[in-house]
Amino acid sequence: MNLRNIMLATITSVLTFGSTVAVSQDAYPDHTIEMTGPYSAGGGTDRLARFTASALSDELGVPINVVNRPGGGLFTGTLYFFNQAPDGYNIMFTPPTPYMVNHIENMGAPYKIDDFIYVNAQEVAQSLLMVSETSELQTLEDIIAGLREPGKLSAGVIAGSGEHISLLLMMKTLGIPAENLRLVTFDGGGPTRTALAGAQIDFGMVAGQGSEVIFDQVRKIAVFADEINPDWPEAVPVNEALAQFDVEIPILDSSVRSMVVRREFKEQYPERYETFVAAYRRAVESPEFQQAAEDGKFGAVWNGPEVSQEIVERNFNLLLEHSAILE
Amino acid sequence: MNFIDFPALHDSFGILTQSYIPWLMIVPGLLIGLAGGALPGISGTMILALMLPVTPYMDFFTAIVFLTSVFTGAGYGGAVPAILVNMPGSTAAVATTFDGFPMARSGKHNEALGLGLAASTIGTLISYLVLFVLINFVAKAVLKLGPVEMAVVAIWGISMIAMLRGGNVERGILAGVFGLLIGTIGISPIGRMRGTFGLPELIDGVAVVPAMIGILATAELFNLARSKYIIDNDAARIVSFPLILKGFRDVFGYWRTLSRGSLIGIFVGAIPGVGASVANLVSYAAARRSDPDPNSYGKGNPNGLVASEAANSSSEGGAMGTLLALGLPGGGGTAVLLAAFAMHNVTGGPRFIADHKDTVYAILISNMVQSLLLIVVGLLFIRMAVVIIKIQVRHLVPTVIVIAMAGSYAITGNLTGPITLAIFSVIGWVFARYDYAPAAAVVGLLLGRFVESQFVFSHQLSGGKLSFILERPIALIMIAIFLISLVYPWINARMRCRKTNEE
Amino acid sequence: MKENFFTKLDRWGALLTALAIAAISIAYLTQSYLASSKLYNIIFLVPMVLIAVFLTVIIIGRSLKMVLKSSSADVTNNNPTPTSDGKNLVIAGLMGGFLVYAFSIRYVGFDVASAFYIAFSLWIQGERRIIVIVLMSVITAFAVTWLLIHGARVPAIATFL
Repeated sequence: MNLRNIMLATITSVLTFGSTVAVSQDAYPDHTIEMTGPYSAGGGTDRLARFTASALSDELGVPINVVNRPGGGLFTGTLYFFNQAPDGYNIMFTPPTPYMVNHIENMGAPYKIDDFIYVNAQEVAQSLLMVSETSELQTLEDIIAGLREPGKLSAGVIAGSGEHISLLLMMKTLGIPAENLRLVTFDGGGPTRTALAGAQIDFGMVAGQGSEVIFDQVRKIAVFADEINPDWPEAVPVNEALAQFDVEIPILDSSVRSMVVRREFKEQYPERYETFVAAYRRAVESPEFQQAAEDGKFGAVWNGPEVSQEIVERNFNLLLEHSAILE
Repeated sequence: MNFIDFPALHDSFGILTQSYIPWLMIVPGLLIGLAGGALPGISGTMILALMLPVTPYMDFFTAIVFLTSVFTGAGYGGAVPAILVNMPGSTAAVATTFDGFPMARSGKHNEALGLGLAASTIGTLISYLVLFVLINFVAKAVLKLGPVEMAVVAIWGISMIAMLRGGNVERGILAGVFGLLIGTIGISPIGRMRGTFGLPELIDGVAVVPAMIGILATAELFNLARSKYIIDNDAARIVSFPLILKGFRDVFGYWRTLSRGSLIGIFVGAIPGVGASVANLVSYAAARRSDPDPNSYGKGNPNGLVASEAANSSSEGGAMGTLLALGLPGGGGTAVLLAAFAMHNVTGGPRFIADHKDTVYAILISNMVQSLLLIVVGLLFIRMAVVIIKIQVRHLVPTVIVIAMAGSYAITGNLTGPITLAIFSVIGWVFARYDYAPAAAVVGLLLGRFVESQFVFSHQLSGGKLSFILERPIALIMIAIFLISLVYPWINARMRCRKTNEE
Repeated sequence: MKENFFTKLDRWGALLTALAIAAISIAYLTQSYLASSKLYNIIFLVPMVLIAVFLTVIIIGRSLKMVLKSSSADVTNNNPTPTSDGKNLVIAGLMGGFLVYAFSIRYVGFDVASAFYIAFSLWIQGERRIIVIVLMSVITAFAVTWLLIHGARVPAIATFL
């Protein structure tokens, strides 16, 4: 490593924090793109956003500035992004589901789900049901048996998350009253994972992607997906385990981390939009990015706008249909 | 289990001596942290997030040394404006204003800055030393803390309100309750909008830092307009490096407060999601409670300053312990560090500690070196900052207010910050005028959301049964410590009373 | 001292503050209850608001006695009365100007608003050298705004920068 490079990088960054390189060109893009991250810096989605921004910046040839605008369960930042010009110089990296459901249903958001184009659902996180490694619960059947006894088990989920809905839905489908479970509704993945690793709760449900740090202290019981996830072969797909009770529940993804642009961008600047999508695709599919993603355990799937739109809409509609269960 | 793994320790020296580059990053890191921490509204977390894009150019160890240096510097930076103009540079320095600013106004500004720096650096050093020995146990200890234990920590925090009441008991407590209520505005534990009265600016709650600066600092700045200088006494208004050094040395006279504050800081900092902004309050409360003369607090008792600075700095070590041992961030600052870890494909957690003990030791040792270097860098920094007292108030007030306004703008990214600052400045002024303990309101504001969540979580986990707490031995011990610390001053006073009677 | 509107307001200040807090608390609880009456939405608010109302009643009881009994203000000397002499008019001016400053950023930008506030506070605090007022307000305002926009990368509203 070269000391001069570090010093240069530090000095440039400290003094200018990445100044705009404005070169007069006709082609898009010709200046810095701002990428909104409606969450605080340092989380899993933020990390994915920053990796993606850096690869995309190389493809597009302009700097991409990731700006975190946290708050209000991702509402503050999403609202901000919705009010920026749809000229291709404002993009957003966010999990539209589950969060946008709450914005639209409860918070009076001025946007609708199809005001945006989900360019690529780059990482679809799945819900994983886990117990502490010291727990006596071994299988989903053990947990269901425990749930049938009032007040016996405690569990943890993130309040209002896909896991929260999936868990209540599973209990309802099995005919188990919600009051049987002492359910702690945490305010984030970190506290939920800590409580799970420390056996403060009997079981917990969070996104499996990002839970790697606690995998040594937990056992993975079930995954809320249609098929086994090769990364966690021991977690049984939930509907497979529920088959013996003759019930089935709809599969909700934990979150869909996606590149988002406003629909007007495609309508007003179709050429820019094509340039953007093509560059983004090249960035994601490049061998370097794929390698980095494998090393760093983050999502680097190219689903493209059509498939991504379907994924988001399916989750959105399921959440909408079942969110009444939270009441 | 071994306390120190000597072969790994030996290997860690290999990492430390591999290259001189990481060592070169410490001083710039500390300076950036100090400057960022000292600017009101620019938090340590923010400055770390701004520095994050620089780190991919460095190797893992260099990046971590640089970022932790920023973190260490920011830990003390907040104390400088807290002492000189009653404006906490971050939420971690709130309790620093309580006795730091009175010290400055009475002409002890040099000593106060030196003392704060000493408490800060020694607190950091102690926390990393403790971590160095106990890193193998941190993960287990932190995991033993559930919502019920956190609720007890929350109670420790709110007990501050009753202490900051000032002259008038019921008004002080009302101010604290007002703060607690205002602190819970925004999204409720069940995801509903609460108390926003239709204002989108309030969705994420009242912007805490602008509100805090408004209540504590700007009101005080307006009142300063009555004086020509911050320090009225012309003879006391001196800048003296020897006096700064004297203040630094004086810290050893407060070793009891210093060590208690450091231990509290480590403990509170290690709890995920709590961190330095609670640690300084809990430590200040503990110091005041166990002091034979609690009424001297808030009037410039150096113990109050030491308690706050020792705890907010040592909580950095506690948070780092949780980050390394569990891979979970203890607060905003460590969340950014975790992102930096991730950029280099490093995750914390038990396996990381087991497999890379040498790296862990190298990180801890470099942090100890940082805290020693902070002494030198910090002394030079205060020597520059202390000239503020030489500036006439009429020139100082508008400048500081505009900087606070800019900081408030920066922290929210929109006009919510400036407007919150202005409104809460008026509230703070009214509260001070009618004896409604502004500091209690700030404590409530900082703790409101935390207290509410922990009580809701505890209620959910226990199924609403109070007997649940009997199954939680750690919570019971914590409650016992709290109760003892409550009655101890009273017993102490009785004992002393009896003694004088016997004589 | 002759009693005017401000001294009268000041005499009732402690009581009005308590009333204001109680009113805000009750409004907050009502709004929350209307948003959702579920247990966890209000479990913390209800006891807090009850305490606030209880304390307000005590405070009103105590200060009412004092307010009615004597004309001297029931305050400690923490802050001065905003009218008793010129210095205190300065404080009122600084505070009022501050509110105007905060709300004017939207219309004139952070740079211009800051420059005007600095100039105004310097003048109200007795600085009369025009050159000092102009230089200090312009240089400080623009330096801080520049750092805000280019240093902290805040998309701040500004007229000139």
